Amino acid sequence: MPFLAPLLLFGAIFASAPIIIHLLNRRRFKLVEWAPMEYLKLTLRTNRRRLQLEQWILLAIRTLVILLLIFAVARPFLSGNAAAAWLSLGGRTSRVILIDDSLSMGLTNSGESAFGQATEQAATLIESIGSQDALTVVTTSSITAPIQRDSTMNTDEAAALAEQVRDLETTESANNWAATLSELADLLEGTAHSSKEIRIFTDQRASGWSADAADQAAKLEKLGVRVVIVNVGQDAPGNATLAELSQSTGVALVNTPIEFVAKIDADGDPQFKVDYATLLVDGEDTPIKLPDVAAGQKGVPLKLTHTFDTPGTHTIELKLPDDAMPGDNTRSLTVEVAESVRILLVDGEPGIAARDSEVYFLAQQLFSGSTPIKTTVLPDSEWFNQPGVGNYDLVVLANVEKIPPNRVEQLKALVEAGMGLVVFPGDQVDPTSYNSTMYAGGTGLLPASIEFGEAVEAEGLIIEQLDNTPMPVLAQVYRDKPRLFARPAPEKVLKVGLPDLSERSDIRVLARWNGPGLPPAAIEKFVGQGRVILWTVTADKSWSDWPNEASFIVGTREVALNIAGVSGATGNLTAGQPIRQRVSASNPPSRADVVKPGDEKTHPAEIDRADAKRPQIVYRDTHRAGLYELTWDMPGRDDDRTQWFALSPDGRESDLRRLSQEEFEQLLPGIDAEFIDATDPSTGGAQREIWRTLAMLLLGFVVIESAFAAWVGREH
Amino acid sequence: MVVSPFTLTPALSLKGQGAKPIATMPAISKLLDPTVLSRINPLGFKAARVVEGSITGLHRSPMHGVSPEFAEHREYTPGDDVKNLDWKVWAKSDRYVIKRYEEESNLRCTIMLDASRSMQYAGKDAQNGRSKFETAATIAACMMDLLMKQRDAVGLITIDTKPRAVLQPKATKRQAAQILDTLESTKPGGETDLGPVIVRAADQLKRRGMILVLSDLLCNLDTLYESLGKLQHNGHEVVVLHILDGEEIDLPFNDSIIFKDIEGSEEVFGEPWAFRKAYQSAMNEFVDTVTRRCQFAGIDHILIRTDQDLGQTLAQYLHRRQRMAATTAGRGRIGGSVV
Repeated sequence: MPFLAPLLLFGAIFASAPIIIHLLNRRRFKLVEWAPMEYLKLTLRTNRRRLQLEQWILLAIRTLVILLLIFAVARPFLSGNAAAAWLSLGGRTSRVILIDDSLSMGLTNSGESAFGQATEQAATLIESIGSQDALTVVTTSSITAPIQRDSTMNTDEAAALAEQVRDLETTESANNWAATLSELADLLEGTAHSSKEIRIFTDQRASGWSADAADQAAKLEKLGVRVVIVNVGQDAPGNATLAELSQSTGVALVNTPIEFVAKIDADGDPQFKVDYATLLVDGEDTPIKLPDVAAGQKGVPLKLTHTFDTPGTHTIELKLPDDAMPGDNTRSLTVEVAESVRILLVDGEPGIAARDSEVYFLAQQLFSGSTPIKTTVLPDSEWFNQPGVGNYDLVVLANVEKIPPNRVEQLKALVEAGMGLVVFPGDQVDPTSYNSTMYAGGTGLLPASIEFGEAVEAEGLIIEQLDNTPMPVLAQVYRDKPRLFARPAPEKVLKVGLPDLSERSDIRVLARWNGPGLPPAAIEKFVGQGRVILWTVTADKSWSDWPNEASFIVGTREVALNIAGVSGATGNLTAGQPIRQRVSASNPPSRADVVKPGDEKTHPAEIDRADAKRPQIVYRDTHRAGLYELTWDMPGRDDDRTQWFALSPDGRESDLRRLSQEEFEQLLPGIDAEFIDATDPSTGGAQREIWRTLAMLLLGFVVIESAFAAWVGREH
Repeated sequence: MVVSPFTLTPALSLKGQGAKPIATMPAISKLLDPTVLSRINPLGFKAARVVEGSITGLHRSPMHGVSPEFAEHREYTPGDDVKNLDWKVWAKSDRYVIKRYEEESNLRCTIMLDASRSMQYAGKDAQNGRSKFETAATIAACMMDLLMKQRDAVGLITIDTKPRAVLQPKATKRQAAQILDTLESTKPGGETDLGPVIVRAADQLKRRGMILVLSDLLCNLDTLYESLGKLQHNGHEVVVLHILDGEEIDLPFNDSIIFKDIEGSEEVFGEPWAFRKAYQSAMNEFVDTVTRRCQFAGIDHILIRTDQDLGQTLAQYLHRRQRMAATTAGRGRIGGSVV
């Protein structure tokens, strides 16, 4: 048995004190000349055995008390094996070893990561658990797929399982402890033995814990599960996080510089060993000079620009230098590079002649300029007849009377995924329908509720000077020459009901009509990764002559290009989110394989045909961050299709705040969890200091000694 | 007139008995404890059984002689002194009968004093710091004084493994002085072998009488009982004064003790608190057994603790003896061997 202060064990020599005192006492006697020796000897002869036994027991207890005291002061601790053996005294038990393999478990301090400690201690525990106990081993990322499920093992099987546990790797996904506990309760409900125990090896980060865990704790309490939380987490010495990597340019076009922005958070002093990050574009690395990141600074931007010369899916990865927690230092992105921006103009009032079209001016303006734009004009009725919105980067709705709810849903999904949406009013627009489906009480796509158009007297436009405005050129010109914007004078504008903008950070006014009490000219709303712009004048000249103005040409064009995004950009995910790829319903694949990051092996992916009209490939083992390559065949064709998916670390795990024992007790009411701090050097990792037990024993022996001494000292 | 040893003067010189001459008697022997004497002298000490005395005394004698107290008539036989004929009976019945009278005699009391080494023990709570032997000697002196005052003859035999000093019973001042001198000069020593020694000592007594045995009785009890039985068989009245120190009964020590045999070399280590009750029980059993056996044999057994008031203990005994004598007057010897 190891000791923290082994030198103090030399104090065990004092255990001989009672014996020495006993011997000295025998030397300190009185000599009495005694006459009734016969009766004295008779008495002693009769009581000798009892007297000797009492003396020996008393001597043994006193010696033991001193030994225990020395033992406790030397601070012994039980190894994992011994602790397990101790635990195994409790009879047959169904044990669950749950290993937290979330991103934060990769944090390394003092040489070994928390996950390394967790797996090592779990493996040691597995090796020491006797064959009488049923064991389940599971990680938080694969809670539904245990490594071992409620079964007993012999020594060889336990050793093999321990090795398997030692080979586990941490993930870059986040925990959802409520869901994890729920699954655990389900796992334990059907286990073999009535005595149940969960031993959770975790770093006790606050991330992933929510109030919902209390309900699951009640389930565990009902099952009478003993919960042991083994802390393997330590305070971070300073961690840098690549909090974001996103494409600034709406639509990535071939031979066009595409801007990306990365944001770096520093939790404490990041302590980079080098000043360069690494940018990998389609696997080719380029060093990038890092900005200065001070301790505690959040959102330090790093702007990147790259020009792709071929269309298709490209990948970029940005890697910060390694620090204490390298898992959140890398992010990746798939970039859909197109040859042109695909814009759909939905014409709500197509005329007989081209000039009569509601979107005539828009189409003309979008053709101008150097940016390649591929415009598709569809009358609203034709568009409604199509099964979907279509594969576009931007959809413009111009004087469309009403939009069916299912189409609104489709639009919303696409906008959330990054597509741009521009809405122009008109006399045909049914405000009631729009407010019901498109505004939806503020949760829909429109930034404001609308009414019918009303006659106004406006004296030009005011362009708001905003960050990240989709009309930066217009704002620049307005700032320089505001008089150029005095001419637009709409006769009629759409009356809107704006929500309280002080409470809505996702809605803002981009431009206003100049005049008292006039509604805004353009309102923007951020919906997911996409943006929606609501103009309050028509796209044609029915409400104003503004479409003839240069400001309209510049404004609508740059707004379109800036908010246009890749509508089908499903390739950028967060670790833990399943990969889903829609495939052809008419020619569905027979196989699909995934190559995971850092792995050359292919892993079969599931082909979900539950919805025959919309089959999809699903791959769920995505807890590692990085680039996943999905390949599937197309029966009847020789070539396979490939799609890249970029899974980034779950940023929630970069929050390294740790829960205290009291917070755990609040989160898990009713569970009398035992907490073991495996990182405390005094307990030696999986080992447990037992001085409390010894102190209790010592106290017990002192009481026994006192009672026994009093009993022995009574007059016989 | 009875002469008390208190009246003995230092100048008094006694001769005779073939013993070594007694040089000087102390004015008042320290053995004659006035507190004891004051308690026992008023009570007196009468033999419970008939005794053969040489002079007229307080005690009933087996001889029928001149006495104011009529005893019986018996038929005249030739040779009887005619002066003893009861002429009144002859006148009435024409029968020749001899008139017999009870004769009161003096008591011949022999004090057998155990002078073995075990009697040397003196506990710290002993009265006046007396050892068992000193207590026994004080009892012997006081009883001698009491008996002498009754004109009884008193003898002394000190014994250990054999009779040491033997003073045949006499009722003289010289005898008293000799006894006191012997008591004061005797130093306890040697081992106890009480049983056989008592018999041997008793063999030296010419006439039957009373024997006071003063001893701690820490000896072979079987032979003791046998010897006491023999004494009774020989017609002696035996009184056992069992002298023990309080410490010997109570074992009041709290320290670790090495008990060394006072009459030998054996040593035993013990912590008295660990077996005190058991020891007390054993000692009580010892005393009770002796008491029971003596009672069975008709022997008075008096336990005398050196830490208790000696005068009171003796006075209680004498008083009890007086009451018993009143109720059992005329009782004969209770018999035979007590073993």
